[in-house]
Amino acid sequence: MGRTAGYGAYAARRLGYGVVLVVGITLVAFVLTHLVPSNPALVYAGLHPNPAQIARARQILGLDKPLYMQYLLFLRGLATGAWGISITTHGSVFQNVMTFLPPTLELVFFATLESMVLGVLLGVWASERPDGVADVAVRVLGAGLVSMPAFWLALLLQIVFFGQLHLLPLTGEYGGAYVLTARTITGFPLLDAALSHQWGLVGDELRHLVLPSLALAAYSIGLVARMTRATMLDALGTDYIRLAVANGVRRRRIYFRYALKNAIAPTLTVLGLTFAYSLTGDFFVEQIFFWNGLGSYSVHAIDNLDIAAVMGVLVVVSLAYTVVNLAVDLIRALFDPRLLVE
Amino acid sequence: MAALVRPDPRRRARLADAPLARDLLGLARDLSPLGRWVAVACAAFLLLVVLAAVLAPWLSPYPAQGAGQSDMLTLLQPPSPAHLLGTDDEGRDILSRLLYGARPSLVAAFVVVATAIVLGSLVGAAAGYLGGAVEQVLMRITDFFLAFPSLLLAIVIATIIGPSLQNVIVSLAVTWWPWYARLVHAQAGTLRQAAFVRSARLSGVRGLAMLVRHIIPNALTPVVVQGTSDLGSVIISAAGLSYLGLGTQPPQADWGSMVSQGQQYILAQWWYVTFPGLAILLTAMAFNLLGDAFRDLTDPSVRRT
Repeated sequence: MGRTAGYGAYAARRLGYGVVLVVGITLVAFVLTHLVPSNPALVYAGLHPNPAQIARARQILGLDKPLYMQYLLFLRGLATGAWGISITTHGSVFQNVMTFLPPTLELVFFATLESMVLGVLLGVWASERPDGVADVAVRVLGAGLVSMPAFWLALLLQIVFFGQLHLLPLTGEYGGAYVLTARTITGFPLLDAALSHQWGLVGDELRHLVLPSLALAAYSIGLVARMTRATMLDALGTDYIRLAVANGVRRRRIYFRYALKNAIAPTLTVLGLTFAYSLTGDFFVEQIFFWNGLGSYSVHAIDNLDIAAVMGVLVVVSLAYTVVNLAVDLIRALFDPRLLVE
Repeated sequence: MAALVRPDPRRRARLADAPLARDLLGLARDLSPLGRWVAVACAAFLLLVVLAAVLAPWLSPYPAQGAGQSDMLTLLQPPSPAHLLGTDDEGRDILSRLLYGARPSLVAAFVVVATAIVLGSLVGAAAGYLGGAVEQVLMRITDFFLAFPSLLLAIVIATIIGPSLQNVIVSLAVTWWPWYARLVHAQAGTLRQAAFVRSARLSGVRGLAMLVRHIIPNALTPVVVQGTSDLGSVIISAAGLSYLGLGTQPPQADWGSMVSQGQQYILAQWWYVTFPGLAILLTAMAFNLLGDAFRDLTDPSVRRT
């Protein structure tokens, strides 16, 4: 009973902190937009403006108002979807971001899934015999993966799996055969293919997902494998595991039922971190695989120094990051009541 | 009896006092033979990379090409005795480009980490030592910066302030200091109570002198451990920014932009992207492994039997 009350208070506190962080994100974003070296009023007023036109532009853009009013106007713009016009697509940044977000979320979802599954399996495998062959192999692999530039790994995967082995497609979200039949319903390519009952397309999209999602997941696989290895070794050293071993409980059961249960909670902590890494790696990986998502959009925006678009992406990605971290904390506290204290 | 349970203040002060050098070197015997071998190999490799960067004009087989001059007679040649790592799409020797390209990477790594450590330590130490409203304000600002995926924030800042190596350094430093602020803040909070800090305060040490002379030096061990790994992370991040075209501009050599220029040749001329990427990977990995070794040395809870 005390525990549930404790959880409610914890959740409320954590939620309040999340709100503070969101305010902080908008503050930093506001300051950054004001760092732009060009004078927006001059840009807005067009070529060869006279002083009256500049003053008028300042008024329209709200630049004559005090700074805190400008911030409030900026907030109102954020809340109402008025995120400015992208000079790359000449469309609304808000609409651009909403169009390009789903394919990216799909990619990041698979990358996160891979990092959790592969990372945990590698970590458990390594922990079976410390300093054994598997352990050393996983440690070397882990150190390599966390030092691997995502953009280079993406290119290497293309060289090996397309160029040498001819196993997987080079780029795109699906093959040319499906261009005419693919539908956009929700914006998530895989979901749309399933919703329109095109199972051949689903299979083809899964094949196209393998390389980009692996390139995104690489860092996180290394991180999770090292984390799982360390926490598994901790868990395997505890008395209740020794007791289970002494009682003749089967190894597989000890590893996956008893030890892993305790090792998984700290691993969950890095979920937020792996999500952030996947989102950032996405900037590099998407344009290499011609994946039509937020990453490709941003890279084009960066090439054109399209500040409004880049800022829109920053805000939406940071909000997603804050929400994921909040969710991770709330879920973790559910499993580990010790976190409720303090 | 109660007196026996109370922690001995002298012992506590000694622990907090442990100087960095003893933490890192004195405990070296605790590393396993394999661990020691790995650490030494990494340090030696990094020394070679630094030497290669400094001596690039003398070590390069084609110094002019390393600095940017193209040679249209030797476009995209595979590795050969004349060009050990092949040539790029402007006929330049890739080995020479790699040696010159080490310079922006290492400069970025050391300047970013040093700036982040100085800035972060001052903020963290001030917050932890002073407490109260100052602590609240400083640590909330720190939290705001940590609420962004850091490389993404760096990309946005670099886009806003314009592409160049200096601006890459500025944007990475801006996103890296909060981690040190948080690290030193946690340390400073405990140090504030330490006996030697209290006696320093009683003998009249105040303000910046207290932070610089007593708080920061004693919070430095985890900072150096973190900093060593971060050198590797900054090399990857800086390479990423220059891969996106935000860093060193051509014809200057840079590992990140070499990968991006070689991208369109991956299927026919594999060597063009492979070697610069390998340089990033190996250098970052050496810093990371060295950081791991330091962490194992200084944090007994990670040490395993």
